[in-house]
Amino acid sequence: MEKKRTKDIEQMLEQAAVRGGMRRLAGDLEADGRRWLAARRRRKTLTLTAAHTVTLAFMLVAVQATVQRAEAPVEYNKVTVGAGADPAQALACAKEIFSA
Amino acid sequence: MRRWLNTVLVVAVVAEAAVALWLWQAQRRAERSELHPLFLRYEHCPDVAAGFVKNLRIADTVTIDAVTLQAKDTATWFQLLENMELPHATMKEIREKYIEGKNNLHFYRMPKKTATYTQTETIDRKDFVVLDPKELSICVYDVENDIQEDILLEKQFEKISSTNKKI
Repeated sequence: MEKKRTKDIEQMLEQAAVRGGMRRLAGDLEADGRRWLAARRRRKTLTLTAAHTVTLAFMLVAVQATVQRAEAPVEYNKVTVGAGADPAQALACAKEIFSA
Repeated sequence: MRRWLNTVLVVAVVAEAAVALWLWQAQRRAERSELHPLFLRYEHCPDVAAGFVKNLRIADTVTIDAVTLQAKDTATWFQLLENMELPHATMKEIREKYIEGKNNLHFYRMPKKTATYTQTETIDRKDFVVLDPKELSICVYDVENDIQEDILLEKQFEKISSTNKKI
């Protein structure tokens, strides 16, 4: 009788230890998971900040170009040419009638 | 907190990219809208060297836009003249003089087709066209006011006078 009781107590203690271990393990896993999520969120924020910097730079360049274009003085004899054309030749052709 | 920050960043990135793209396209559209329709028509034509001169200075305070078309060969040049709907008599005269070897400049007034007229402008304003058989080139001056027209007519007169003196 005494022997059986001792065995039962040992078994109960063993089970309690297992439960405690599992709880600790679950706690560790949860902490790991939280850390991983926080790290992922941090990486996401960093990536978005980098993308934001790039698009902001593009936007500022575009705004500056638009302002410069609006404020630019009149550009004389500005030549635009099509495929295979020479700007100097196009200008000479346009000036032909004005040459002496 | 960080979740909100990410949402704000995503919205900012999308908005900035949209504004940058819109500004870039608006600028490109503005640049293209300055070009003459005739230039746009021949811009990618392999047999014609098309050029567009914006604000060509023809006097101290007077500028004009000009389109230059230079054909690679005679056939293309005559084809260009036909596309410009020159009167039959003018075409015939140019052909005859070309065959005779008289490569004088020819002057022609082309009715505007694409221009939008304001109330102050006269309806019968025409573009000033110079045809050069020697260089196989065509130069179209986009006449918008009387001052430009007067200067071009004066130059035409001077050219014709100098050619006659040489003959």
